[in-house]
Amino acid sequence: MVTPVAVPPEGAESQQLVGGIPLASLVRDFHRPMVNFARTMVNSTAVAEEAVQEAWVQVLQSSDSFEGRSSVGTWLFGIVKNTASRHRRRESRIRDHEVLTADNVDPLSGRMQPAGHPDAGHWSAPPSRRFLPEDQTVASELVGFVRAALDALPERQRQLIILRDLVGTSAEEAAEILQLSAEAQRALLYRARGNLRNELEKRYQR
Amino acid sequence: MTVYDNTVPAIDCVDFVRLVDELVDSHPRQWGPIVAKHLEDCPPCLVYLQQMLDLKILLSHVFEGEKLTDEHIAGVINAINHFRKGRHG
Repeated sequence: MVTPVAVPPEGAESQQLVGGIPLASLVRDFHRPMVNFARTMVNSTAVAEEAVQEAWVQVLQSSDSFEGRSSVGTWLFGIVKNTASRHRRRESRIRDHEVLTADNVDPLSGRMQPAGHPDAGHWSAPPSRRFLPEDQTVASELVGFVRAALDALPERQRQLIILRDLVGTSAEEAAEILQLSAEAQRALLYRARGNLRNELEKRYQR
Repeated sequence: MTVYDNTVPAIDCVDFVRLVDELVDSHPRQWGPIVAKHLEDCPPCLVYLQQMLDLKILLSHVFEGEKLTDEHIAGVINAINHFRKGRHG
């Protein structure tokens, strides 16, 4: 694992442009999200850091060939996905959640009246209250709870939340990085956000 | 309270929750009369939408403490250089 240390960068690499953007700016904006993204695919933060280091090297080696057909973010995360995949193969392991089909369960299963019921299509078990106060004050303890719930999501759902809600990629870019159709991206986002909402709801019902 | 004419189609809650991801990613001005009508008629869906908006705010804070300082950026760039040299040197 290569941990960042507080020493000045050597050479002119920090001034190097990637897709017209200084490398230092890209590192500032994308390094942590890239590690978090890689962490969804490998066994430890150390391996994720290594996968991202490899990705940066590839970025520098191929920066001249970046043609700007997609955004820099889409390009970067596509490279991280490849390097992290290689590390995962090296780990030679199969995650339990990759062989489970529970990822496809509708987060609102059982919450709506079924077909044939007089109120079919409407809530049978409606949500009771919002999660934040009116002034949207955010308690750090609640943020920690969401972080833990995010870490517990199945891999693909976690990747999509990181891309869409933390990095801010568009639906189209996220679909391209994760190699999903537009419809599959929508369905995965519905499940991912729905599962996080369910966890928050459980917390408020305690 | 807004009075909607009969030309605004009604949707049910199952349809509404499928729209919510698009709603939280767009500005309320873009939501349109079908959504506005359903929200006015259905308090549970309004709570659901508010929960998903709250979730988006919470997610925006999740990695807040992980922003890299200038020193860390320099460290990452040095680490990349060492990694390159280690592979090719």
